[in-house]
Amino acid sequence: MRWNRIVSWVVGAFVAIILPGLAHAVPAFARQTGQACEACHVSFPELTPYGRLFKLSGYTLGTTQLFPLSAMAIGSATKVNNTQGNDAAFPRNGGLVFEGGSLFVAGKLSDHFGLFSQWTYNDLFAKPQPDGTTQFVGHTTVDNNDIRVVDHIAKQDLDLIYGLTLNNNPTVQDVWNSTPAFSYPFQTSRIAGVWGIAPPATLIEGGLAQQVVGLSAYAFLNKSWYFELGGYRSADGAFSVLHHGVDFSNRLKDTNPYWRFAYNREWGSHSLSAGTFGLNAKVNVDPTDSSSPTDHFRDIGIDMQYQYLSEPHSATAQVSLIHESTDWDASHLGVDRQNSSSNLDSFHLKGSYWYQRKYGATLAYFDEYGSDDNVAFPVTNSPDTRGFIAELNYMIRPFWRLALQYTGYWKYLGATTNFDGNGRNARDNNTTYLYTWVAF
Amino acid sequence: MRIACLLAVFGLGLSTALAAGSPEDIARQWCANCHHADGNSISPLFPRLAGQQPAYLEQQLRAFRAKDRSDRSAHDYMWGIAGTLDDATISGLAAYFAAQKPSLNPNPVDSSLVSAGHELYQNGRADSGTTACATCHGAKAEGSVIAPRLAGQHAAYIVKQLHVFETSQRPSATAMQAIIKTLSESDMRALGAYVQTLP
Repeated sequence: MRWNRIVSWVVGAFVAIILPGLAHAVPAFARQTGQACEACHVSFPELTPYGRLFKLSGYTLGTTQLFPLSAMAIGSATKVNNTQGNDAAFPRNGGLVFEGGSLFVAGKLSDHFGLFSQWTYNDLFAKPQPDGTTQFVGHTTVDNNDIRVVDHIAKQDLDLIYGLTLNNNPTVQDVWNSTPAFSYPFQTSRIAGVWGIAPPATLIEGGLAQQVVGLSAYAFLNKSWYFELGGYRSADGAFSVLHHGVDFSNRLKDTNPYWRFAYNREWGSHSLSAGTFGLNAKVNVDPTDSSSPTDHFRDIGIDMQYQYLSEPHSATAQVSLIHESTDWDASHLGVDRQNSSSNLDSFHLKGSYWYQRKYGATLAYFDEYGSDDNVAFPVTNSPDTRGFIAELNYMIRPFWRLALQYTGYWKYLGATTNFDGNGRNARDNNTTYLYTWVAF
Repeated sequence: MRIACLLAVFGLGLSTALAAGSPEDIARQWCANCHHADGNSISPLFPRLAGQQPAYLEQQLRAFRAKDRSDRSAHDYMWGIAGTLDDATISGLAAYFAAQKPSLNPNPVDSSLVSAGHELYQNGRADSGTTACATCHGAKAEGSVIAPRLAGQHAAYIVKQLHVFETSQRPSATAMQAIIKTLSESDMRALGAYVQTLP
């Protein structure tokens, strides 16, 4: 509650002090640079080439703002394809909800120091009740944080942006939208998450978000070659603020290496990147006990992004494949794992078209597939999940989006039909998600 | 949140400032992100500045700063940047880009339009009362003290700006606002294609 009050106070102060002075209120980065959202975003959060350079420059382009603050809010309605008559398991199905919002402290603090710090209020924090119903309460947590120290050497024969990023979610620091933290889907239904509809994911796909602190050194050479090396630790001690309000579901043991290499090229209206990233992580079996034995995850991803940006047509595409191999501690065997090691692969492909950066259509395909396991997946023996997302977007204003998103499952947790042993089919989990997002 | 509060408090001690660094530093670290460090931008969204007439660059930067030039891209990209520039920096940036060597534009053009563009550019068209572009912009489209360099400029940018001249969003371009009334859409595309091919 204390944090809720503080966030309310800060938001209130922000609204009272900042908004009256702005005829055209736009978020903090836009206020800092004096530029429009479209300068950096194809559509939030997908970055343009200029947006990538802005981020790599440590958010330091422009002039320091007295209050580098922004906020966003999301309202939505989500409908599941089939409740099978068990409506209690799908609370708020089809109903309009206020999902919550975020406060951002974001921007330049000096010529070499800037940050993106997001704090999120979730109005749909679910508390299952003994009678089978779900109670929703408000809950404020830390969200993505990326704090940078940078320098930019720009000479006739050398352009080098280099720096350090301190962050709390592996890949949140990345500037291409083909790595997990800022990859598609950019917005997902909180309610669908409460219902438990979520494809399996590798550790690097959000499994450590807001539970770790990472420091990495990066360099972007001649606007072509990107190198990054760093390490992640559990967000304990002095860094516990970086997991504020988020319980550990995965606690890292010691420091775990992260790397990222990418090649970037721009020609005409086109830009293309191709790269690899990865994390080698030891995770405590018991997230509440840092001395418990560990599982060993090795995540390696390859990714590509293509963008065509012109007026009035823009098109973007991202593709990524993450391979995860895991060695499980012996304590799992026969309890929640069949074998001492397993693999999980995560494939994502997405294409978007935008007209005047105002009307957008996106089609995405996802395919998660991994080792058979009759203990972890006792009904189907398999985690395999496959489906698509189709989304239509209308930007009412550059900072205000209305969207309709449909997620369809061809296969869910190993089966097309009866994946849970109680007659539930993959397509029953299909969801229709109508949302509106506004930032100010 | 502790960090956020500290930063918010820290923020109270900061104030807005002019862009720091020499004009060349600003050009290479900021302008270069869209216009390229040598002014030969790659994307047709952003005009090529290499070898541009310094008087024109200076005039436009001042117009962005004063918000006199109000076309969409000016508003979206340039108002904020130019607002941080003082007179000396504007002059320095204009001199920097004027001194850069223009390279041949590598982007493709519709070659079927080039000869029509060449004819219109060099000789104008009596029927429609179109003045030859070369009169002000130079026979090689190198520009002059009263008109910008067009040689090597992105065709898409030329067409976009010609449409802007149909409005009052670039008030300093009084001559163009009259000339544009004599041009058709296909004329604009032909002119854009022609000047893009010029060295």
